[in-house]
Amino acid sequence: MLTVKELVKHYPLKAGRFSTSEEKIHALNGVSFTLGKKQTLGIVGESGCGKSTLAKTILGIQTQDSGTIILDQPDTKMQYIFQDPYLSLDPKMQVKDIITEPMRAAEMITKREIATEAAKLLEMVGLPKDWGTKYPHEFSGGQRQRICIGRAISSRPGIVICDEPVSSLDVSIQSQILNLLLELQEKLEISYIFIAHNIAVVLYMSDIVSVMYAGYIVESATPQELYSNPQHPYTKLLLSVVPEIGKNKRIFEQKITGEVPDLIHMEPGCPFYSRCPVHKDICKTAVPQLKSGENVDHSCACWLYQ
Amino acid sequence: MKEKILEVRNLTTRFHMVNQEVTAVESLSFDLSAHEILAMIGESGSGKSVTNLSIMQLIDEPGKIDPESQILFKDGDKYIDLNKLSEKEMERIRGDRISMIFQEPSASFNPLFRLGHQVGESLRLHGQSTKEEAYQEALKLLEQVHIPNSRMRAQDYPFQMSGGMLQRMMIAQALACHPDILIADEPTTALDVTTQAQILGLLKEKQKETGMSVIFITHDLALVEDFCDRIMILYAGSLMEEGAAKDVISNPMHPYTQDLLRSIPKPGMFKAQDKLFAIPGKVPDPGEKITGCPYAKRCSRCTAECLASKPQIAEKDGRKVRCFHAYS
Repeated sequence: MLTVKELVKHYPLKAGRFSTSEEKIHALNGVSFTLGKKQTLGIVGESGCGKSTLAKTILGIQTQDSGTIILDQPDTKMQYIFQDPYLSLDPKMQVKDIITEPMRAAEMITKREIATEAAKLLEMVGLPKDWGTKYPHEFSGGQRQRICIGRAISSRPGIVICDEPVSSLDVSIQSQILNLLLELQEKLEISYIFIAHNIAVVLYMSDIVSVMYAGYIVESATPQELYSNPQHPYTKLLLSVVPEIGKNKRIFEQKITGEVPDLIHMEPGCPFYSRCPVHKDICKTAVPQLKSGENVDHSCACWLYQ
Repeated sequence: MKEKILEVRNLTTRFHMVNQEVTAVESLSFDLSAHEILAMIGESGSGKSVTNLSIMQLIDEPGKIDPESQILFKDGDKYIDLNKLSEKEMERIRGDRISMIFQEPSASFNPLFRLGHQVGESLRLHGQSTKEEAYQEALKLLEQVHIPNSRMRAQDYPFQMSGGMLQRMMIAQALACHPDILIADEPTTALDVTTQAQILGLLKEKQKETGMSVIFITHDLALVEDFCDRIMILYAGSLMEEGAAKDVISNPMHPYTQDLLRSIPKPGMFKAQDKLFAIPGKVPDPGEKITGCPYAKRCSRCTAECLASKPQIAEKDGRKVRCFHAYS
C-alpha cells in the first residue's frame, strides 16, 4: 500500500524574518517502513519522538525535507483520526454534514444524498441513524470519536492514520472504540497507521509495531515478538515501566537515568546513548542502522546487534 | 488500628446551574490514615477531583458543599471540621498542612516568575521565612526532588523546563511546608511512561521520608496496585468499591470494577488471539437523574431492583461495596 523511505523533517527555529538562527528541531531523521493492505502499523514512542510529525508528513500536511512517500495505487485516499474529538468537530455543523464532508469534497455524492449516506455511516459506527441532524455538543466524548471515525471512513480511504484515537477518552469507552476500529478494518479492508504512547494499546491493535525515539525508528517487529523478545535497550526500558495489572512490577522502583535527548542539538551517535545502560564506544560516534537478524520481520537499530 | 488523619463524612457537593442541579459527589464517606497512600479511581464525572477540591475548600460558585457534610482533619490532638472553617482559617491549612499537585504542571506555575521563587512561596505565605530564607530553602527542596544543577534551574522560568522536571518542581513546592496530607490529582497523566515511573518513585520516596499521607487520584487502575495501600473506586459521584489495593485488583467485587479491569488492554494481549471486552453504554451525563444504581444501565448483572433503588454500601472485612449483586 505505502512505502516510506528515509523520511527527514527538520523544523527551522527561526524567531522572525531577520533571525539568523540556523538551529533546527530534528523531528524525523530518516524513517523508513512499508504498510501492507489491511495491515496495521503501530507506532509507539514518547512525546517528542516524531510520531505526529511522521503522520502529518505522510498526509502531506507538512512537506518532508528529504525522503519519499510512495503509494502503490496513486488514487488511494488517506484519512486522519485525531486525538481530541472535542476539537476536531465543527460545533456549528450538523453531524450529517460533518460525517459526509470528505465524500462531498471528493464529489462522491450530491447534496441530496447527504441524509441517506449519513444514516448509513452513523449506523456503521454504532450510532442511531436518525441522529444526523444533531450538533456535536449533544454527544459524549466516545460518541464524538465515533463521528470522527465515520467521517474518516466515509470516502472509503485505503489508509487511515489514527493519532492517539483513544487517549482522551474515558477508560470504560476506550475498548469500544478500539473494537470499532478493528471491525471496520475487517469490513472495509483499511490499513491503519496507529499512533499512541500507550504501548499496551499499540501491541493489541497492530500487525507490526515500530518503536520511535528522537526521530528514529529504533526497533520494529510483530507485537508478539516485540513483547516477548525486545532487543533495543529503549524498547526494554519502555516495557519495564509500563504498568501491568497483577504483575507486581513496582515501576516506581525502576532506576531510570537521563532525559529525552535535545532535538535541537543532536549528538552525532546513537540518540539513546546518554540513557543507555549498555552503550559501547562506537555508540557515541555513529548512528546504528535499522537491521534485521535471522528473523527478517524483527529489525533493530543498535550496535549491540550489528 | 492506625491513627486517622482525615475523616470525611457524608460529603455532598452540588453545582447549582441555571437550568439544572448537578450532584458531583453524593454522600461520600471515607477515612485517610497516617502514612497511607489512598488511591481514588474514577472516570470523568466520577467526582474524584471535586471530592478533593471540597477537602481543600476550593469549590467556587455555582458549586456548594452541603453544610451537613463533615471533613474532619486532625489538628494536633483534636479534629477540626474544614467545612466549618472561615476562609481565613482555611488559608492556614491549605498549602501548609494539606497541599496539592496537579495534572498539568505547566499550567500550575506562574509563567512570569522564576521557579525558585515560586517553590519557596508557601514558606513565605505561611509566615515562617523571609524572602531570602525561603529561596535558600527552595534550593534545598529542589535538591531533594533530584533536580540536576538545582541552583541554576531555580533561576529558570517554567517554559524552560520539561514536563517531568516541572512536576518535580511542583512536588518540591507542595512539600515545602511538610504537609500532613498531599493530594496528587493525576500527577503523571500528562507525562511519558518513563517520566511517570520516575515521578512515582519520587512520590514514594518522599512519602516514606516524611510520613505524610497521600491521596492519589487517577483513572489508571494499573498504576495503583502496588503503589497504593488502599483503593476507592468512584463512579458518577458515588463510591462503588473500597478496599486494600491488592484485594480490589485481584478480587474485584463490584461489577464496574470487574468490567473495568477486563476492558483495559494489557501488555501481552494481541488482536489475533484476544477479544477485547467493551463495557456498553457511556458514563452518565452530569445532572442526569439517576434513581437506582448509577452503573445499572451498563451492568451485566442489572435487575429491576438495581434500576428502582440505589444500593447501600455493605461493609465486610475491610471491604466496602455498593451493589445488590456483588461478586464474592
